[in-house]
Amino acid sequence: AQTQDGVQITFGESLRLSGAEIEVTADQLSVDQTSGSTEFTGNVMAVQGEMRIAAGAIRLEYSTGARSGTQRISRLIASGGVTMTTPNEALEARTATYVLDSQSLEMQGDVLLVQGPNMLSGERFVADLRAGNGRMIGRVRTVIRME
Amino acid sequence: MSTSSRIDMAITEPDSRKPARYSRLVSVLKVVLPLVALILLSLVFLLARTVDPSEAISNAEIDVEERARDPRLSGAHFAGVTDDGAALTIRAETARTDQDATVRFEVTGLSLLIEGADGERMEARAETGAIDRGNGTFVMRGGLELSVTPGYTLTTQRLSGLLDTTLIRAPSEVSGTAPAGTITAGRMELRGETGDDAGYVLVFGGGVRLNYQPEN
Repeated sequence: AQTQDGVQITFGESLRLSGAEIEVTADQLSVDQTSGSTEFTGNVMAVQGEMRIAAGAIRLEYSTGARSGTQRISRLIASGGVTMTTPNEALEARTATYVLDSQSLEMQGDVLLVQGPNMLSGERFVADLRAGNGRMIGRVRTVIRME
Repeated sequence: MSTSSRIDMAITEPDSRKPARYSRLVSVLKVVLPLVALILLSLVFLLARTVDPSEAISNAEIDVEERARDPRLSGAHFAGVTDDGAALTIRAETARTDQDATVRFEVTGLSLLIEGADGERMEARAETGAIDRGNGTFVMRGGLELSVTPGYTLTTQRLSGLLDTTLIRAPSEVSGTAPAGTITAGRMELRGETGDDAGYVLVFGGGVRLNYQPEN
């Protein structure tokens, strides 16, 4: 398999997100009754614990819940310019996919990561928020400022 | 002539001992029976319940004048198909025609059901409302409960919409449960989508907030 190149960094280890409530706010939410697709539009903000994801639009994907007939949110798909911030780092990209169960976050398209003084940019950033690490992949460039 | 009368006496009294008691019995009964009949007859009138003709029939409680003034029909039922193919039915417990517009009904205890072709549904119940066949609109007021596919159960104050096309709007705050989590929004609208995939779209506007607690 193609080895995963890219730069491995610690990322968001302070976030204890599993089971934390998610609040999504937006100007508008449109639900297509026929296909069931649910999309928030208009300065959308999803907040879970100390993590905040701001985007132009966030689409929810459901899967069947534990109890029969209930549903649970399985993925949040953000688009239209995504900014993900945690207390000590910020991440920007064109689109992002956040999977709730595995707490994996994938950002795509001109990704820029700012962590304290240093910055990292590349094509794709994959992070495992539960383990607290992330990997920037594709034409990775880094700027380390030496004070 | 005397021989024939002796024969008659013999025929009528064949046995000399019994006739005296029998005729005395008959003569006694002739007096007693009419007396008993007389007493019975008088008792009937003596014990009869007095009937007071001026008292009205006890079970006529409804206000007759009010009923006569405005005709009211109960169990009104409006059904139609919107031009984008959704079946709309409105049921009302009572419907009263509006004085100045005969095609306008003031209704109470109404329920609305609209169903699209592929199973899209919205069901709403309200205390009062009005159906205006003139300009083809309806309005529902009071504590409204809505259940809308896919899986939204909401409450709002007011719902209004058209009868001939699928456009139902809740202009004020809407809140309730979503398929996952709870939702509140400033307003809500259900409308038929034009274009190729002519489905139905439910749009929450005016600031939406969804809170979801993940199961882990």
